[in-house]
Amino acid sequence: MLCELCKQNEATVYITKIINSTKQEMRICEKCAKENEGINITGDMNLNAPFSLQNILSGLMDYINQSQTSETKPLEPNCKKCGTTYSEFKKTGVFGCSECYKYFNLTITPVIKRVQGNTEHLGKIPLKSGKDLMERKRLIQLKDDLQKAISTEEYEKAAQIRDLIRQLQSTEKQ
Amino acid sequence: MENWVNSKREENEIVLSSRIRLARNIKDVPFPNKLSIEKGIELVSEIEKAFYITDEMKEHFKTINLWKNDWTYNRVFLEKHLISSKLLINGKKAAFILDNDETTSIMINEEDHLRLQCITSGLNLTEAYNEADRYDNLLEETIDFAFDEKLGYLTACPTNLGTGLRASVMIHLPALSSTNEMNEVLNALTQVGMTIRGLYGEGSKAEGCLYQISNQITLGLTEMDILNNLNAVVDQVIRREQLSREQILKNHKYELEDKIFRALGLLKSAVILSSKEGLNLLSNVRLGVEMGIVKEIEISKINELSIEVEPANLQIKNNKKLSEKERDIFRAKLVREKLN
Repeated sequence: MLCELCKQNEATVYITKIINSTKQEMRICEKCAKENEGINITGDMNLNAPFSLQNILSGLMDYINQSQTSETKPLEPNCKKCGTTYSEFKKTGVFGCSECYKYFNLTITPVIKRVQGNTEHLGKIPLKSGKDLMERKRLIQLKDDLQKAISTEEYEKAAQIRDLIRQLQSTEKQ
Repeated sequence: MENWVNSKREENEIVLSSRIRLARNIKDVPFPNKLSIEKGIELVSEIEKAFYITDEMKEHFKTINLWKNDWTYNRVFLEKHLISSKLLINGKKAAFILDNDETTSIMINEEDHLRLQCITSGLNLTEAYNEADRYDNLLEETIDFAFDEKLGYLTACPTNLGTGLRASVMIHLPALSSTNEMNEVLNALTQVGMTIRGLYGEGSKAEGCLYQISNQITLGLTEMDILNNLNAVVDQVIRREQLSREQILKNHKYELEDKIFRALGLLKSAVILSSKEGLNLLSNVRLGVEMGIVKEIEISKINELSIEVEPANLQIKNNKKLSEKERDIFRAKLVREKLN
């Protein structure tokens, strides 16, 4: 029978607790028994995770680069703007400047995908500097809506959206 | 926003506080790890210029430059959860802007140029986010942030990319800790892109059964999605903790009361008290207050104590450097006076 706590080792220690005449039994391994001395198992969860973020990141990068062909291996091992090298990033887990994302694009994209699960930002856009971008995004969204309206034969709605798109495009040209 | 420490919130709440942190960097300036001390200090005053634009702001906020203070003085703010340990490490070029209520803290030259942090009491993530968002918009009026169409806000570490948003709640989980269910909680949280840490963030231990639950994923979700997901997860954890508390009350009522009142007794009469023992005993008393077993103590008193017993706060209060043993004696005295 396996240890009820770590579910890895053979259970060799049998603990029986009787509290208020209710009986509780537990079968655990010697290692867990030692760690939980005093039987009252305190939930001292180990939050000092053995892996730091940097470890995981660099591990991921090694793995990803191994599986890549030599063609896609990082040809530019350092950022032209701030001089951060690839191995520096691997060691510290942080970039030196925002340009690093361009120079390390090839190697970092799969890592971002692994860490974040996504590679496309959907959240807030800076109100002032992101104005153009917001308009572009709005245009894409409107065109999308237009297609949907046409395919569901809501022509009145489609016409409204079309007018909105024209309006937006004309202000953009000015 | 309400300061969580002296909050008048419902006593049976399990969540102490909600925190929002936005990471931002300034366009065309190297990240803090590549920034010299001089340039770092220059950046601090640049950000101050963008921030203190009205008399009202000057009245409500102040800047604390870490390089002007000694280590213990700075550490007090860490123990109050107002700054991170990373900011302390960068102390030679780091500063933070703090409001009078100690709910908003804008860290400068942490891992990123800016870390806007808002903390409010109870489970109240949206309120804290709206506040942080307001300061983000204010700063953006004069500062251009590093932003990429695809990757969103660019951060020093790819784990903060996109929204740059880390939302977290501080939560008291003594029942789940004592029934050894925390690892299960950890496993479940990781599967939905959330994580749980000790009291002082990354790598810290969960002293006094206080944990932080936060989102891991920052890219590809909207801010509201992140907040809603975290809210949903925290609700589940709260329910589990409550269930666990009810179970303990049903099956081990006397043991529970014994544990709580023994803890209170020890705190009221101990002469030497270590930080770890203090926090654990306080956790037991907190549980007693939250469950209505201890009636004469307000939860805000426990909150205050849990910060005041920390080493740096003790030394500042005592106005001199203390050895470890002196600290333990002074800590016990402080707790006795406050509880009796």
